[in-house]
Parts: sequence; structure tokens; C-alpha cells
Amino acid sequence: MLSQNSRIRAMKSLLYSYYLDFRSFYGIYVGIMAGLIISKFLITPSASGSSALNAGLVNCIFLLFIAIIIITSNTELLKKFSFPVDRDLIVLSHIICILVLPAIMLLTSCVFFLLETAAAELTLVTSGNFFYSWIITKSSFLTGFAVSYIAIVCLTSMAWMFFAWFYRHKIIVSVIGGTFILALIYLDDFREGFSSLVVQIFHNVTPGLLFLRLAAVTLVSFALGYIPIKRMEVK
Amino acid sequence: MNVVILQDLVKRFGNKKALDDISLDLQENCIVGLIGRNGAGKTTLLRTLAGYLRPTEGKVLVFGENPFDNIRVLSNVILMDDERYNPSASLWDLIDRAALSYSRFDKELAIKLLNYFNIPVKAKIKKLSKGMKTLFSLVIALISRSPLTMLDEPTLGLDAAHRKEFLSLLLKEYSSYPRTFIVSSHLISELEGMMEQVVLIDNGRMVFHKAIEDVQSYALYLTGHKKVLEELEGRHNIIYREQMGEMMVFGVVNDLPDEELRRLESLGVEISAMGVQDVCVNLTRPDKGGVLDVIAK
Repeated sequence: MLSQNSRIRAMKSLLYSYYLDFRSFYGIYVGIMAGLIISKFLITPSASGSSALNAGLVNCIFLLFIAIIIITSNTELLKKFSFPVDRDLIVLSHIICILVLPAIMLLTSCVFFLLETAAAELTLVTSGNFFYSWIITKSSFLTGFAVSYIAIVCLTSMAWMFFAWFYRHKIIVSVIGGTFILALIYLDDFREGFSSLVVQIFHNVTPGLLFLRLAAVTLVSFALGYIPIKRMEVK
Repeated sequence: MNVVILQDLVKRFGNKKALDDISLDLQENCIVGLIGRNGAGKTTLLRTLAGYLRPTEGKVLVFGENPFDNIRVLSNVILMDDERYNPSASLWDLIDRAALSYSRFDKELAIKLLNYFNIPVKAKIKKLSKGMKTLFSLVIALISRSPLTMLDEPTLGLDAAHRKEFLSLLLKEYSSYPRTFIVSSHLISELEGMMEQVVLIDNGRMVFHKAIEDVQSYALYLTGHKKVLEELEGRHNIIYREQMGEMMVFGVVNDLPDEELRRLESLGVEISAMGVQDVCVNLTRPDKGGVLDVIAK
């Protein structure tokens, strides 16, 4: 008698495995955030702008980039095949991670922002030699959160797509990537054409339109990254 | 029902043929020994059946479907492979994952067995010795109760006592929850008692697929005077020969009629059955002579 509901069982198992992997990753993120904010408070007597939100964004992009380099590697993918799983589920779980992790990390940075604000208020009451100035309204916060979120998701999905191809076709991707970078450096027309394309897509647009365009780039990246993972063998 | 059907299976890695034209049918609920030298293609065959590798040519069917990237098939297949577990994962987490992955996995029994083998369930994989890793993988593989359970070198790193206990556990599991086992191993003599069929492969090619009884009676050792035995050459398939002065030992495929065996016995030739291990070793012996020939040169 063969097992049924295999896809759901496999998905639960795989997501549990990624939950275990990212538990320590999240701990590192919180540790870095706490360290950055505490050290800033100790070093500077002022807070002109939110350390938590800025540090959260940079930290989130940096750590997710590292996570993507790791989870797309052959060694890491092979470990996932120690239990029943197919390539669609692997890709789906990666997409879930790319969509969920930035949200959790940004929400954490918002919690740090609240703590930072509380600390600044407390310092203001107890010390006359301190000032802080950050003005965040509800709408600017929501817009900033949404655009930051989709920008991180977009960058992470592009990194995911790149490394999904790179680990499977190192030579081809290196040659294409190297040619692209050299063309950007040495071919003025190419560089200008590429810059104007980027500017045309992302510059001077409303936050809503920017969100949609970044979401479209994200979807394309997911679709392109799916191809090499779908075809890969577990050696 | 056939659990595994292979038709003209070829698997290439670059220019190297790891599996060459293998055709094989395996029935459900039997223990199959997959025998071959190092590099014969055993692991490649198991990984192809486990859906890790895509065949270059030919057809692979497991439970009637192609296993590559097929979760319906893979949920019913387990390949024991301790090198694939995340070294940073704790045994407890891996047991939880196994319980989520396999519908028949008995978590309580798995923990009892690990406790019995003195393997700490809270330890991480990287902290275990080779033997402990093997035991842990065996427990996961056996207790998953997958309809197709494949064990790749299951006794590697185990001491004699643990090897014996593994065999008892395997047979107990097999009798309680019948399923198809494919066991690849070098320790043929230890596994001989439990194997029902033997698949012998050499250099990626299948040499034979036979019932264990047929392998046990496949060949004979004939020990006698050189002059008596030399007359057999050309008439019978000799798979082993060794000369010690005027005495010779021949390993021959057992197609000798009873009257010829009686005649040889009357000429002072000692006849004994060739064990399964020796059959497998002699049939896959390279043509370049033995290791002692290297020293002699």
C-alpha cells in the first residue's frame, strides 16, 4: 500500500527543515541589530534618524544575500534530499523563504525602532544633553515598509536566480557574468543604455508603480531560477 | 507486482558509463542483495532508483512510475545515506522530519532503538562516530517502513555485535512489515543468510540476477591433480584457477553432469560448493591477475 498525500507531507517536512535552518539565521540578525543600536547609543549622544530602520534594511539585504548563496548551493540542496522531496517543492519553499523572511526581519527592525524610540524618549527625560529628530508618519511608514519589503524581495530573488544558475552552470554563468561586467566597465554605450533602462523602470515613479515593477522583476527572477533547479540531478 | 523495472538503463557521467544497459525486474516483498566491487555502479543504481539521478538512456520505473522528481514515488522510497544529513542538525530534529515525511514512521520505536544503541537523540550528526551515524541512518531507514527500502553499505563502520543486531532488526522488520529491500554491501557472507535474490554488477553491467539458492549452487571448487583438471579446460566455464605445485584448484560453473562429477571424485578430485561471496568475487575478477601477481612482478 503506497503512501498518499505525499506532496503535503513532503512540503511540511521541508518547511520544518528550513524553519530549523533559519532559526539560527534569525538569531544572528537580531544579534547584529541589537549590537548596532546599542553601540550607536553608546557612541553618539544624538539620534538623527532611525538606526533600527536603516540598520535593519542593510542588515536584512546583506544576510539574505548570504542565505541565498548558501541555500542554492549543491551541498545544501543535497541535504534536503535526505527526505522525500521534489524540485518543485524545493523551489516553492525557497520562494516562501524569500517572501516571508524579509517581512519577519523588517517587522523585527520595526520592533527595534519602537525600542529605540522608547530609549530616546527615556534619555531625553533623564539627560538634557541629548536630542533626537525623526519624523515618521503612519503613511510614510507604511509606504516605506512596503517599498523596502518589495525591494529586498526583488534583490533577493535576483540573487536566488543568479546563484541557482551559477551553481549548476558555473562556467557559462561566469563567462556571461564576466562579459556583462566588462561591458559595463569598458563600453560606454552599453553602460549608458543599461543605466537608462534601469532609470526608466525604477526612477521617478509613484511608490505603487515602483512596487508593481519590482514585483514583476521578482516574478521573472523566480521563473528563471526555477529552470536550473528543476533540471538538476542530486549527485 | 514489480516494484522496480529497469529497461536498457544507461547512466553516463561525462564520457564515463556508470551504468551500461541494465535490465532488471524486482518483485515486491523480497530482500535483494546488490553486489559488486567498488566503483561497479551500485550506488549510482540506487541513486537512480531513489530519483536523485536522471537516466541517460533507457527506462526506470519504480512502482510503475519514473522516480525522477516524482514525489508520489519518492514518498514510498528511502535510500539510507548518512552522508546526506545536515551535520548541524540534531538527531531529534531529523527524527521529527522523518515522522513528517513518512506516513508509517514509528517515532517512538525509533527513539527506543536509538536509546538502546546508546545514541544520544539530542546530539548533532557531526558529533557522532561513523558507526553511530550508520546506526542512526539504519534506524531511520528501517523504521520509515517505506515499501522500497534501499540500504547502501549498511554495515559500514559497525562492529560485529552491531552488525548482528542490525541483521536481526532487519529480519524482524521484514517479517512484521513486508516490503522490498535492496541491500548493497561488500560483506556478502554476513548478508547471505537473509538475501532472497542477488543482483551482481560489474563495471556498470549486470552480470546476473538470480535467486540466492541458484547462486549458492552456481559454481564448484575442484581441487585435484593438475593433469586431471586440465582436461576440463575448454569444455567447461572456468571462473577461477590456482596452481600449487602439481595440485590445482579450479572454480567451474556448475554445469557438470553427475556422472562426470563421480568420475572426477574417483580420480581423487575434491569437490566443494563455491560460496556466494566467492562466486561474486570470481565473476568480477579483473583480467589483470591478483594483487600477489603485482608483488611477484
